[in-house]
Amino acid sequence: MIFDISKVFSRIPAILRYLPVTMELVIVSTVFSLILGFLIAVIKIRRIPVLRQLAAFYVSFSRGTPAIVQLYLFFYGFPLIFSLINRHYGTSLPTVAPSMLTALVAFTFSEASYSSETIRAALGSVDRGQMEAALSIGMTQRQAYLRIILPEALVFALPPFGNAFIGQIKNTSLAFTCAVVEMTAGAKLLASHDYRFFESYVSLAIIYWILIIITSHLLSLAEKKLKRDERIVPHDFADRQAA
Amino acid sequence: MILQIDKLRKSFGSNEILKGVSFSIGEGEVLGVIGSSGSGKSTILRCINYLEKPNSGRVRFADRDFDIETAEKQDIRYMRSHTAMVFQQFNLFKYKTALENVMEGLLVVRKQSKKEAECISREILARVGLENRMAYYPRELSGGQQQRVAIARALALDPKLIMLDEPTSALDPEMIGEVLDVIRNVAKSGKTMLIVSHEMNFINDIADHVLFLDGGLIAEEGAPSALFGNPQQERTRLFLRRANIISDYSI
Repeated sequence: MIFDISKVFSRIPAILRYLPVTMELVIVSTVFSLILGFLIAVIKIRRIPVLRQLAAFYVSFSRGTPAIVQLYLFFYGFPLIFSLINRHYGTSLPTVAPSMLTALVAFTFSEASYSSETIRAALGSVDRGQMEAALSIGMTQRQAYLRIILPEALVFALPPFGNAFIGQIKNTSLAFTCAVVEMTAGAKLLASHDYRFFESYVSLAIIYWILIIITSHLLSLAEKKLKRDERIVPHDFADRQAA
Repeated sequence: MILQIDKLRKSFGSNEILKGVSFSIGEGEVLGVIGSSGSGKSTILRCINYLEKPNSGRVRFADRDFDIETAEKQDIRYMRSHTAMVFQQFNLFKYKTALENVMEGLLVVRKQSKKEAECISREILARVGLENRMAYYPRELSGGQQQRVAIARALALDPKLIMLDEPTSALDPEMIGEVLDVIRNVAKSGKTMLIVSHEMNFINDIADHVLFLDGGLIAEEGAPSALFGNPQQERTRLFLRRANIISDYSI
């Protein structure tokens, strides 16, 4: 048989066993890239000297090189640095890069540069008057940020964050280059047993596609929830309010 | 005296906006500030609650007395938590309902319970005629309604001084009346107010004392009847004549 459609279906559950690895890569790197991105955004907004130049250099490099090249740099760079440290200090750090950790660090770094720009733009999008109003009723800067500014910025940032998250799901397929067996690597391994590569990759494509459809749907639900002022007010709303 | 300002100065870069302005407001008094745009009217208000950092001067407010150059964090906090401001662009919190907008300061600054805050806020919103708009978000309200919520938000904190920065300038003409009525009622209830406005008739009507600001200095001041009826300075006359020509057209 040239194309075995039944293989496509039977392979889906087998590949899905690697879904947790993919999700771990996506979620952990997204969380850390948001934290790092927020710090960089604050450095840029506050114009902290030295750190600001470092941040600009990092963002420029990270956005100017492909994710796969960054993965290689971390994968082959870590052992080099570790063996240098071992030689100088007599430590015994591993000289083979731990693959999962390498992938997480690399994805975090490549993603944080984008999220820092999103966060900066989102904070900048909030009308200055909102901060002034908060301060004018006696709130502290911190209270104003937590209660007024950040929730408003989040509404602005959610669509780009969502796009980045979806991009990140697809990016994790690069992790096989540093020996992490996630869904793509899993599909490849499974195919190497029966040489049904095409069927295996069709299953893989279907899984990614469905995963991203579900994610987009959840994101648009979240967006609707955040934009709570853009609702349709029923006609008798005011009257029920008064009652 | 509830507020006394001495030789207030403020520059933006090399551009001096306030060149030593001194005035005072008594308890329950309404002080009107008029003048052409760029004369520094709004900057005075924004310097009092430190939305702009003034350069120098002295502030006496209730039981506080401090020099602006050596003002401490607590001084700034005191000014902000005992004054309230109504902005030209309303500046209501975008993702909070009318009720939540008014409650916010009570909850966060006054640390009141939710129940208490809600009770006070409902009462104040009713006072500005919005009893059936409590659960509306700002974008669901007209400009006039938004500004009334903003006045309610200011009133909720029971501040010693309410500052209104051109509260009707961003409103459609048919909505100016409802907002002015609310402000008039607040003034009648004995609140101390500092109001910057282009509505000369309104200032003439509710202010106890009027400052005419020109080029960062008080060019003339006095009771509204004197200042509007018999201005002493040539530039005051010129300003009032221009302001009147505009209002003649709108009639």
